[in-house]
Amino acid sequence: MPEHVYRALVLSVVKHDYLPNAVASHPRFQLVAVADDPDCPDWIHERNQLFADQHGIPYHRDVEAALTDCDLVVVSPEAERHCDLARRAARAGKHIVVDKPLSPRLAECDALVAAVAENQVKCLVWNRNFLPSLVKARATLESGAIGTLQAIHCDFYFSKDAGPPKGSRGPGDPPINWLERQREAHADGSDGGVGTEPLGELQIEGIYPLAYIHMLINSPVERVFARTAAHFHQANVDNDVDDLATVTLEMANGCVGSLSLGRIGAAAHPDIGEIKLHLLGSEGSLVISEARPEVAVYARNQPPAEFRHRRIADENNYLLMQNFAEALDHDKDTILNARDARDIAATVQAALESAKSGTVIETAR
Amino acid sequence: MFKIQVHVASPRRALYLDAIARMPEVELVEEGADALVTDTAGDPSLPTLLDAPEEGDPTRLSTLEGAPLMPAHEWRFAPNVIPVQESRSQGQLGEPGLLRIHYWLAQKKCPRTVSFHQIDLAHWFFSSPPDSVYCHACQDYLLIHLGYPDGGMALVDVATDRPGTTDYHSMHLIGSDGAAYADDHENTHLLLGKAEATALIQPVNAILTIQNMLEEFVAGIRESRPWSVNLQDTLHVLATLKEVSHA
Repeated sequence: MPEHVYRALVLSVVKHDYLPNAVASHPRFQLVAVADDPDCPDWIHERNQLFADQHGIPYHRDVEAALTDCDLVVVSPEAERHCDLARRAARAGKHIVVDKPLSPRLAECDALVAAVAENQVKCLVWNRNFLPSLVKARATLESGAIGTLQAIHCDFYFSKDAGPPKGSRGPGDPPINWLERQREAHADGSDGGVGTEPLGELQIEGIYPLAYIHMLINSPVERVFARTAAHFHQANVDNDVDDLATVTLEMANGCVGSLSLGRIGAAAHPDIGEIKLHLLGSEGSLVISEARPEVAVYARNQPPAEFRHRRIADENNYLLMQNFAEALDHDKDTILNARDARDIAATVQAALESAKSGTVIETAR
Repeated sequence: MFKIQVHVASPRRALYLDAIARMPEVELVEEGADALVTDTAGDPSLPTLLDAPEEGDPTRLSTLEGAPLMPAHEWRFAPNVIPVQESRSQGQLGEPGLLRIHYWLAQKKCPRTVSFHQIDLAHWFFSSPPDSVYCHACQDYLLIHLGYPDGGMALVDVATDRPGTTDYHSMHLIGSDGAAYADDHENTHLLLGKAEATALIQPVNAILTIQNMLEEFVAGIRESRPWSVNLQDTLHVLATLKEVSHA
């Protein structure tokens, strides 16, 4: 008997379309429509319409009406609207796949967690925990090969530019408008911070490494100490948000960790960026390169922006959706649910407070 | 010939002797030396290279300021560090923003003492002592989080008494215009034997490190110029370590 195919409604496709495409490419899911609120700016409607046309599905400018004809929603608007759209879907009894970060505001995360629990729906927050290197790291830990985990460190650098470099603003030039800059960045897919509210790299990307740490250590972060800087990009300087950060993490189980993270510029790495995990256990240590396995390709006339090292055997998108399908089929939890993502948002918020105050901050539980 | 006398206990002494043997126009002597290498801070009448400055007493060392004494901050001369510093000092990397170091040792040692040279690298790359120090310490482990006046930041973690026999070092420096990665993980060979595959980490050449440092020591004397590292640098690191102890 063929397995049930779940009908997915896409709620806004403002950012890169990897998330709804990942849902569409899994055999257990089918995109049925795109929907968004009618009062969105024209550029959002244009992106939604384009995606709907590409997939041959309708675009509705009425979220609540569209919610009547789906099993789940795929939420990918500006970060500041993630929780609002996801919460409305939860209230309608629809399961949720939502892009990262959950929200820049912890109160909205809390409201979504409550709505998910109250309406007994499943929620998957997008992450990279099924990259082959992370699957290997988890299996190695679970095998007991390095004993009890004592310390975990993650480097997470994206070697992408983000508009003009720091220091490039001339006398009398206006500050860079965040939303305009992010809309420009859509062309190369580096518009993770799209929205009216400026977001630093900790808020945009922090969920990925913190989700690794969450998965591998399975103990909440209790206290953080952080430093941040706008070190590379004028847009970050003008909008007073970080593009470089270091965070010390102290977990409830006594384990210590750290995160170094940044959007370090395209010149700083030959590929997407250095992303590594260093784990210390009671019986051994583990060093994981997130990009591996990969294949190197070098050629005459190779475009400068083309990665020389290409990731291979990456099943992250498939496995995330498989995880979600199993959660729906068997009433199981997802690999990163709303509560987990909310706790990660709390860690990010504490880190930003710590960087601002220069003091250790306890995370909001 | 430039004559050097070495008063350093084994096994460090052997490193110095091997390094001197490789240096042209330099010879090891037992008396009549032009310069001294020692692991005991005395009142130097000869130009002196002070080995193991991390073991020094800050109060005692501070009385030696102005003496012809070069502290052996040997990590500055390590083959894996030199290209990083060269690219930094030539401006290739732009303004340093973040330094990350992992240093794990199989030997049972005091992590605080071991961290001396790693903290020195951080101070050196950021051209300043830190303005904030945060740390997390437990037995055989130390995580140090440093902040520098221009917004720079460093994370240094040191683990000692690790299982096995292999040490591990990983360092990267992220600057505003580029980054440098000096990482044992990238320099690892693979042994496929009867048992499971085993990683073979290629350690940094310790003799070359000492030789590079001795060359700077000798050049400073011959050229009558200040050495590239001085006692003030040592005292800054020891001051940071004091803050680490109190944190």
